Amino acid sequence: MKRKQIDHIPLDLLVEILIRLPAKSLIKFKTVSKIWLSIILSRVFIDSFVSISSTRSRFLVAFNNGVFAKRGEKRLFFFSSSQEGPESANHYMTLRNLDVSTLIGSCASVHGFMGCQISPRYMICNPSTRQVILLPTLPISPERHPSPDIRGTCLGYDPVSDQFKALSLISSRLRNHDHVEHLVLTLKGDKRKYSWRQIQGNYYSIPPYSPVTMRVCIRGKVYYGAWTPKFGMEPVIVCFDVRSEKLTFIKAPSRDVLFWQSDSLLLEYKGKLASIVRYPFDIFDSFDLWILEDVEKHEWSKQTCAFPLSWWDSVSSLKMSFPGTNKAGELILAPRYLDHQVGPYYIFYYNVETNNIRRVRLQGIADDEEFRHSYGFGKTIRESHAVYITPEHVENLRVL
Amino acid sequence: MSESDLAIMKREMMQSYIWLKTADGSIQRVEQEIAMFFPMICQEVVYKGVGTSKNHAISLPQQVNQAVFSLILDYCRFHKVPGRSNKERKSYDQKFIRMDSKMLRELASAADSLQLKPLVDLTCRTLARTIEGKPLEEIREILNLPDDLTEEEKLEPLKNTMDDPGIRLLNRLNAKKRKELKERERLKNVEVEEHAVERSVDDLISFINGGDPKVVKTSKGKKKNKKKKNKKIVSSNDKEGAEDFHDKESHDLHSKQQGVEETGSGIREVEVANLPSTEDDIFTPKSWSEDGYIDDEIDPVMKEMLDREIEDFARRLNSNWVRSRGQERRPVHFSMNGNGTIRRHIGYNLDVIM
Repeated sequence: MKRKQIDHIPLDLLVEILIRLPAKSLIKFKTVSKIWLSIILSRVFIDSFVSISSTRSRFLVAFNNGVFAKRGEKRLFFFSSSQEGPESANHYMTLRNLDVSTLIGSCASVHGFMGCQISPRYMICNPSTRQVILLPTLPISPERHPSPDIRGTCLGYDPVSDQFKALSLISSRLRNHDHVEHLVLTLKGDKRKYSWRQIQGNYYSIPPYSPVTMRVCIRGKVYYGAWTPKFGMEPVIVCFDVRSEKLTFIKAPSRDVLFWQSDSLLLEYKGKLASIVRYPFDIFDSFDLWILEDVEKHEWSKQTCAFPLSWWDSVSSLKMSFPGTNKAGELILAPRYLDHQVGPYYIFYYNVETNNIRRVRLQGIADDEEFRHSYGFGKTIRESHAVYITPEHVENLRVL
Repeated sequence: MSESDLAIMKREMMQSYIWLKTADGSIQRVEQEIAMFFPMICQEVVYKGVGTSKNHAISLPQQVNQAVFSLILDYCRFHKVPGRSNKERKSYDQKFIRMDSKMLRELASAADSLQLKPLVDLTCRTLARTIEGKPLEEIREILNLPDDLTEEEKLEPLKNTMDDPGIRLLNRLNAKKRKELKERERLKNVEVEEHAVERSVDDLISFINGGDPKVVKTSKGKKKNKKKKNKKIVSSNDKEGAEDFHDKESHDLHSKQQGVEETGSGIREVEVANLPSTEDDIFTPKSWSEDGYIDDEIDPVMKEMLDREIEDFARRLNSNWVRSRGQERRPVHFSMNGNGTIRRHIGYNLDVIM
């Protein structure tokens, strides 16, 4: 077929078209022609794609087919869902045979990459490109920390230097030393040479503390709650700057913020760190929303939000997670577990100003009998399927 | 002339016009306020002072011919009116964008050369939506692209960081395919000589059992194996309906409930799994279906190549029953039921060659 020269699409127009496609299509279209392959692999394109993708972000929904499934049948599913429905969720990828230990909420995607603890190692995956990286095992440390101290690994992203780093907290390997040791791994370069290294000033300049909450990465900093110097004493929020690898301690506004330990909630609220204080084990009719207004000055603001009791009648599960906020500033509530019965999966938007809740159905989240049956959902009555939602998932074509 | 006519004439005389020349030579007169939408024209008028008369018309870029330009003018004329609501604008855009993809392409090209950002956005979004779910060949047609990646590049091995058996097998299949491509090249030279050989399948069996010339046997054997693979992949493609994911689902169902005869080839897979040839791994439905690694990356490309192979083989055997896709399953059936050892032989020979 003869193609006239004048009929060829100019390069920048081609880029304009490609950049509007979803990541899944782009991966497939690498084999269309040489030009397309070089465009899609080029760094410039990847960067522009990521910035455009963050304007049209979607939910990343991850869930498994059961804790008690046989090893060969375990699956971890990743779906991308629009924030307002009604289109059905798109399947990104499925990971097989993984033992995803129950996380302390660090199953949120950070700039398109998601980190999960697959004991004893940590795994980072990118659902858009389906790249999976297993980080090297951590040095062995004697398990001396008291419960409910939570040590573990999480993923952080620094937008300034465009780097991903994994932060690991382990028990100090020094004798008679109950401090937390901080290990960092920069995800750059040759994967075979990945190794954990200590941050500077590990042992002497950092006061002892006991980390107890989930981690959250906001704008280049990883936050988590801790007691210092020992459990139950002073509540602080530890802030790890991904770029400089320095730790700062921010006084927590109240003990309530840490009170529920691993059930305490930290999230991103309109670009800032926020904590929601509510009773985690039963219905509640109000909650406190603490917002870290100024990171430098450690200033917090508090809002008490009323919560309609009647709403609880419409939900079947009492355990709710608060994945974050949408672009309009509404708080998202999502059931922590899938229903035992096959049924639609709903998420809820809570408007802080009006105290109203609206419901949105996410289609395609294990709401099909055939799907559940073929993947062995809910085989035993004790089975639970935890759902992890990232509200502003960015499609990142980057291959680390 | 009536009052209103006079008024209109007066208005027209007062309104200034810019003269523009489209790529195919036609000279147009456009109201100044519309023409100033185009940054390029602004520059020409302001800095070079052209466009004010017919003789000094501004030349538009070569992508802008008359038809496309009139479309663009319509678009600008509509959107420049300030009083329209967003809804109106959106519905106008929806109607405006309804044209065949060739026209759309030209429009996008023209808008891009005139730096008309909103129109570029609209056209590119529509083009992106058009190509999103399409098979690769169709995309090449719509956008006028050459198919210039070599077969080898298309079959680049995926990185296997999780040591996933699915990827391992996919890479193996790709490597095999690449080898086969090379073999095919080599065989093409050989086959030119013995092209006219037409054998029925009965002859084939007797050949194999009788231990006849290796070249012919193995090339046929290989073709048969490839064909076997074709069946599997073709049938998986058949189900490429709504979501990829549901395809995998149904494959899983096959592996679990082996009695289910949805396509007929489901059962073949199970039987093949018992045979100790290298092909077996690849046919296990599980490794194909679940990860999604494989379906998405390889379907269109593989499908094309394997379709070609099917045709080759059909021609060579001069068989009447390999006419349509539905009927193609019979040769598989035959090779299975005819004699279990046939397959074994073929597999074994294949191993020796490779």
